[in-house]
Amino acid sequence: MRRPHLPFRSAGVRFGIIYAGVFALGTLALATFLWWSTAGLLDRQTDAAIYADTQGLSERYAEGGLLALEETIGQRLAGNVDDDAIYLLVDPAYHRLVGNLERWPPALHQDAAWYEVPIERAGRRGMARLHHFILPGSVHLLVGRDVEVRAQMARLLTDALLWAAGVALLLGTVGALAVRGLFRITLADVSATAAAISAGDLTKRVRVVGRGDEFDRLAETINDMLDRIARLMDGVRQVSNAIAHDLRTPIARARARLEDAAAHASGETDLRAAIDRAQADLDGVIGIFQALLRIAEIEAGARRSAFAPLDLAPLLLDLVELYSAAAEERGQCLTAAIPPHLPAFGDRDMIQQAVANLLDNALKFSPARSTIAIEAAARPDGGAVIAVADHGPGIPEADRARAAERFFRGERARSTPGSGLGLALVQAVAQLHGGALTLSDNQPGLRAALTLATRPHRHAGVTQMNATSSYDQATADLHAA
Amino acid sequence: MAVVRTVLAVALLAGLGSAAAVSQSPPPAQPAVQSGGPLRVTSDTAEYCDDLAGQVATERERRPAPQPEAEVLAQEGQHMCDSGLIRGGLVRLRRALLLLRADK
Repeated sequence: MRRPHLPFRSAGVRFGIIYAGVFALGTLALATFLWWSTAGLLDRQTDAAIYADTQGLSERYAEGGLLALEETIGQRLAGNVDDDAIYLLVDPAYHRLVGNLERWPPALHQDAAWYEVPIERAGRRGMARLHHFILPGSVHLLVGRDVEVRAQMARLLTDALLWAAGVALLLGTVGALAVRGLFRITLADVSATAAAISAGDLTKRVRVVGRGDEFDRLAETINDMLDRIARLMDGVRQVSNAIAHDLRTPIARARARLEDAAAHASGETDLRAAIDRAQADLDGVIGIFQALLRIAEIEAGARRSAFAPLDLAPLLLDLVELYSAAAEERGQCLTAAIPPHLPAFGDRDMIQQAVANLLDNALKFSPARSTIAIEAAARPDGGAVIAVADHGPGIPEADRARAAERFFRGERARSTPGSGLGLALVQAVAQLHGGALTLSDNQPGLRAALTLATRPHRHAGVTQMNATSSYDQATADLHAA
Repeated sequence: MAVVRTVLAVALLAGLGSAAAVSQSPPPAQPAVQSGGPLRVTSDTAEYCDDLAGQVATERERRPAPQPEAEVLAQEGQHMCDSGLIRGGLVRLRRALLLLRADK
């Protein structure tokens, strides 16, 4: 079910908000640091100066008493070139003794407290930062600084930061909108492609801009995935068509024979013969299904548990012995070049069936008085290669790439019996064993090489079709059927 | 999303760090309750100018040969105070006083 389109569910809006949030946090951190390193620094320096001044005056009072303190305050006022110092010394009754404030500010009674007090200097209003100390004898001392300049600078800084905050907000909003827009534009093509694909147009692809960035890599990955899906869909379609076509013929034939027998059979012998022929046709159909299921089983890797180390030499010699008799019947010659020991790792039955398919094809398509050769050898990397070469019509180069597809039958193989599943099964076995099926020109004829790896991995198989062939692939299953 | 989270964490840490730094500043001052308007500073007045000029004159009398620069500053300061330029006059008188005291 499609959810309603709400702004907060949009990834673009979310990224935009995150961008704006990060931008605002960064700006806030920068403004805080600026404030701390300017206005804050002045505050700290002023407070440190006042505190040091107060300590000095306290010591002076302790050393020389009230008169000495009054004299020192007068000297400090007279020597205050910066003209920012403020002192006021009062007796316990808050009567002014010395200093440059006209009177004691009301409500300033707390010892060691800091105050911000408005002052007036030569007609100008300002602020003073004051520190109150109660000295022994209940004498009150105020030491402070005129901080109007600092206050003006703080106001200027505040204004500047407010303006900066406004600009940052504007930039953050623009940036967030740009991020959202960029995200939407980038994903719009992906979304449109996905919509077209879901509507049935498998030819649509995501546009690759060519910048080589993450979005380009995403587009390439999606396009690869779509290509793969399209190939699989084509394969499924072709297999479906092939199944419908290849099964229709024997079933229709069986039906026609039964119908003819029902209408014209003159006795039990005719009826039984018709039934036998129809049964043979239907067995052929069952054989096709068995072969398909077996290929699917091999491709799914369901038989991998049967993998074990084995010696291919006796297996191949048994096959040579079996097919030598069939070759002799056809007037052909089967030669073998097999080493005494050929270690491999795999499923014995599957390998045997794959090699049997290759031999069966070679015998079927080779003319009389021709030679069929089977060779086997160990590979330097530890695997094995088994090649079957004949002198038949071969497979045209244009058809070799498709020769191992299910139900593929070349033009030259149309006239021979078979279903087009033999090489598909060989290729599936090769891939399951981490190897490949390679078809090449035997000049004349076809050379089919089945390569097996020592320790196959699930996706290691690569099928190379750089050869000619003229095989009609008929499986051992079909022949058994 | 990992990059976004990292950036957010860094920004947050920076903000918290700055906040922690601010918190090290001295305790905030209390605003004093005022009655009768702002406090007048008495060291910006013509009276204080005269007082300071008196201190400078006392220091000059104590020295047989005062520095010429102090003399000039004292004269300029006195003149500016007489002309109503109190703050400028005060600055010069203070400098003159400091020079004379340093010459002790």
